[in-house]
Amino acid sequence: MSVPKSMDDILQHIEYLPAMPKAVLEIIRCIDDPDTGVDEVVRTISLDIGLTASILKVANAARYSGHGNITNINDALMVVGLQQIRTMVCIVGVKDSFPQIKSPFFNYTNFWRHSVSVAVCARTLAKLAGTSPAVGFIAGMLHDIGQLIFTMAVPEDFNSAMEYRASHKCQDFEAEQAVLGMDHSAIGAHLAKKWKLPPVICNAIENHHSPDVPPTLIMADLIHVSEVLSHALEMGYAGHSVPPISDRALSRLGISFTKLKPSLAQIECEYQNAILMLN
Amino acid sequence: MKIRIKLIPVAFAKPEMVIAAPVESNDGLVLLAAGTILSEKLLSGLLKRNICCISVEENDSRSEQELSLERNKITEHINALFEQSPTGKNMQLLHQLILEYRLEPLQ
Repeated sequence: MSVPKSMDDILQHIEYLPAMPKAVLEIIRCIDDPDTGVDEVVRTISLDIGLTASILKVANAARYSGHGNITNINDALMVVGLQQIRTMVCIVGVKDSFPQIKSPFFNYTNFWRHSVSVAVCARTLAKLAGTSPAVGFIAGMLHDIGQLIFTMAVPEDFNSAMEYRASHKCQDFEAEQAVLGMDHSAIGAHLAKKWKLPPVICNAIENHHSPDVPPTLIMADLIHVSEVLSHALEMGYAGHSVPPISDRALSRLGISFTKLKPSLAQIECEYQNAILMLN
Repeated sequence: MKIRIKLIPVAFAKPEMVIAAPVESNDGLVLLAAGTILSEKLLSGLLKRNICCISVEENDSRSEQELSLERNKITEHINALFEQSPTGKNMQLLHQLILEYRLEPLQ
């Protein structure tokens, strides 16, 4: 087994880096910009035929039956609202950016469910922490994209890492570091920077397993805590033990677990709602 | 038979279900009062107003013995989930939080 030595080695294994649709990138970049109006979001989505088709497919799914056939983004907006359209773009657009490679050790359905679960936790916790729920959601969706790069670039080594994880009962990133010499957070942040995503999202991807490494940013804290909570609620991956939490990250967010109970049912409900968009 | 309150996505709601807590719009306007019986038209209206989740009443016909068995099973499961997690004040609080949350519907 040849283990790549550097990030460049790994990226050289990929003929084409995944390209996120321009419309999705645009919407992510201005997701928190109050000056971006409904018309601009509609226009941006409509320019991408593939994304438009995917959004319409989701909008026309059984849950919105009774509204007739939704044939354009304007109609979809009328039926499901702007926030829901943005959520759809983040889920469908991100998911469709990556090819699905067959692997006996990697379950794409669970991967995307986990991403959605962290995104939903982040959106709720962001409100409690006084930071952006929209940025939290997209950072949650993207936090583990490095694992998808591994499945494309070094599938056999990544499979070995997953075997290592199972036999050593350790966390994903620890197994990746042991087998591949780096973990998904570093390679995921590298891709996010190539996509020119906002620095706050790149930092959250890079540091969600090490939120206490300076410079500490609240979005990395948020994704770190959201991931722990999503495991504790067993959303996404089943049977994984709850990973360790950084007390300092939790303290920086100003969140106390003793006050979180009223939010848990809402998180589970929003998760069930959001995973409908994955199918 | 006990009546329990459950938060569900509007997408999973069905006509004839009974609303258990007032449904409010994002700007705080009460759209549906507790006790309202859902219809296709009302569900359609909730989706249109971007309401994601609603509280509904649910009948629970389980006996006290069945509930007790279920509580034991869930306690074991949650304890196993946290078994390999490092100890610490916040991890204990999270463990306690999840346990209480999972056991609440079985009281």
